[in-house]
Amino acid sequence: MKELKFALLFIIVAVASGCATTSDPDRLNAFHDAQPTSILVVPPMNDVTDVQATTSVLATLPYFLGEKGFYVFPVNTVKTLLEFEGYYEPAEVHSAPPEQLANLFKADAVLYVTIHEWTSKYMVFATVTEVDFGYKLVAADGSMLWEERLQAEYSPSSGGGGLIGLVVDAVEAAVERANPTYIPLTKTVHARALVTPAANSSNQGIPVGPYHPAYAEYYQRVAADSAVSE
Amino acid sequence: MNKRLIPLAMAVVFVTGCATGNNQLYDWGEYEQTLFVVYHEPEYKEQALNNYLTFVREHNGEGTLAPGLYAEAGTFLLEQGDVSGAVAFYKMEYERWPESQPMLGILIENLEAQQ
Repeated sequence: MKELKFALLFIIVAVASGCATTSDPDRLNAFHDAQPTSILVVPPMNDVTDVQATTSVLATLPYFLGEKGFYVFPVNTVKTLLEFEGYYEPAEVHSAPPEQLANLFKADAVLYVTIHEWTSKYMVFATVTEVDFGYKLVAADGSMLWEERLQAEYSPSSGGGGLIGLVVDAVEAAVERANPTYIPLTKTVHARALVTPAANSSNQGIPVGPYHPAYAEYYQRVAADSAVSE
Repeated sequence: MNKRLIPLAMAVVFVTGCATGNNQLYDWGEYEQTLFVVYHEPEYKEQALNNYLTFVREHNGEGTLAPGLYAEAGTFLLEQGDVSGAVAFYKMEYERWPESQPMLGILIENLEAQQ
């Protein structure tokens, strides 16, 4: 079973297309200066019609951010408290000043995700599922710390007829009933977007947070790299 | 080409790590699944919340529970009208994670004033 899961994930990753282009060695400078500890994930904004997209993307983010060593504000509690404050729609939250949101929770940074694509195209022999997410991490003072946009698609026809069954096996029952192909694809995109950069010049990913065991080592490397480049 | 392969390989490692539960910083239990059920499947909500609350209670304030998960248990109880149960979980989050203190300090104070 483990091998099957691995094979499936590999196939998904293989079709994921990165649109990150040129490498900018300074792209994480603001992040490195700010070194945020706590991240407030606000409900994602949805450019598409599927109402499950917003909550599915929201529910899958805490794991990746928490395991990267950040304090992730509890997403459902935040959603509930924002509603108490009068923010019912993600669009309202996204258009509010980030300084105000960060101050409400005393968060170091706010993560905004926009769902640009969340579709399944039904072909004659297969269904092609496509997702496209934009991520923006903004500091409590309103400055941009990190930005990424990634898309991925999954087509069972690329690997034979048994793959739909495989996807269903790879996720927990509740997730399976909700969204058989979207969830693994969504998690794959989160994992790629939030990968830890191997060097300052890497053009993808964000640094580890202070609760991660590699935190000190990461920032030592950043300091050494920038000393070399000066 | 190599540059592209490294993040791809890391993504695979990361995602499989999630699937097998190895080398994680924290216990997450069925947190993600609980949120899916709460948002999308009202017919299974009660059972999912009971399972989640049992899981969080087993940790009883200890540090291995993932960030935010005590507070989420508090919010689920608050929604059910159990204010003192909610406050107990909010206090566990407050003690465990200093980052939560500004948010939860006010919330706990307001809820205790209501009682």
